[in-house]
Amino acid sequence: MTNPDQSMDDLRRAIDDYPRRLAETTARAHAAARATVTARDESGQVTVTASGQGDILSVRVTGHALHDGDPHTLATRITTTVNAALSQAEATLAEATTGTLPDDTETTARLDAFEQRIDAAINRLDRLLDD
Amino acid sequence: MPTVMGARGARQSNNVTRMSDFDVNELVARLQLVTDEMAGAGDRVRAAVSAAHTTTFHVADHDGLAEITADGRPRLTGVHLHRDALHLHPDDLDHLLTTLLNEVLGEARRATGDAVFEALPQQIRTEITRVTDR
Repeated sequence: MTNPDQSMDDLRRAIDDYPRRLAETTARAHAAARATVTARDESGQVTVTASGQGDILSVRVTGHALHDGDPHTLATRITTTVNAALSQAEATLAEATTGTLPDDTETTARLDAFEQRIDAAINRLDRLLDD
Repeated sequence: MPTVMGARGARQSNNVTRMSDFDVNELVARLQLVTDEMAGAGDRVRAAVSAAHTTTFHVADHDGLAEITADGRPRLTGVHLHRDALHLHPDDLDHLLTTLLNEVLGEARRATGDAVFEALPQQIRTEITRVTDR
């Protein structure tokens, strides 16, 4: 059975620790937003660079693609490559912000423990009032 | 005897209201109301996100060299290049496309953000406005 005092201490530590976790996650998110991601299409003719927050920094098309390609094919390659870069940027940002909060299992366990602690306190108060 | 708490609906005994005498049914009803309100707000936000994601945004340059469409996720749904665009210097094409892409993607992000914001409960919108100067 869970020790209510220990559970209360765990919950208090989790709450006290939250500002530190939030600051770390914010720093990671800012770093990820400043980072760059690069996507290249299968032919190697289009290369797109984006920031972690999804701003497009460059769209490089090879001279070969410009001279020998057709507009429709090149447009399709650009579409695919830009979307790949955007997906990479989102994944980078999402990864940076993972782990801010305790996972659901941990949170539920702590809340259950907190509830038990409150029940125990109420029972104690009732006993005191009965005396 | 001291009175611990005077909760509405609590059972009285010998002029003492016990902590354990809360009206559980009332508490459950109130929690259910809050849960229902939150579920409703969640549904409204999900619907707003879904609608925003399918909205189409479009930009084009003044010379008709390139047109770009995007949805609200934001992802490109189409790029159209005029044949003359292939005669541009790679640096100029880069600049043209980068400018148009950031314009359409920025517009899509703003619109989706606005749609989600409008779907949030007033209290949350107020808090977001206070924290972010939105």
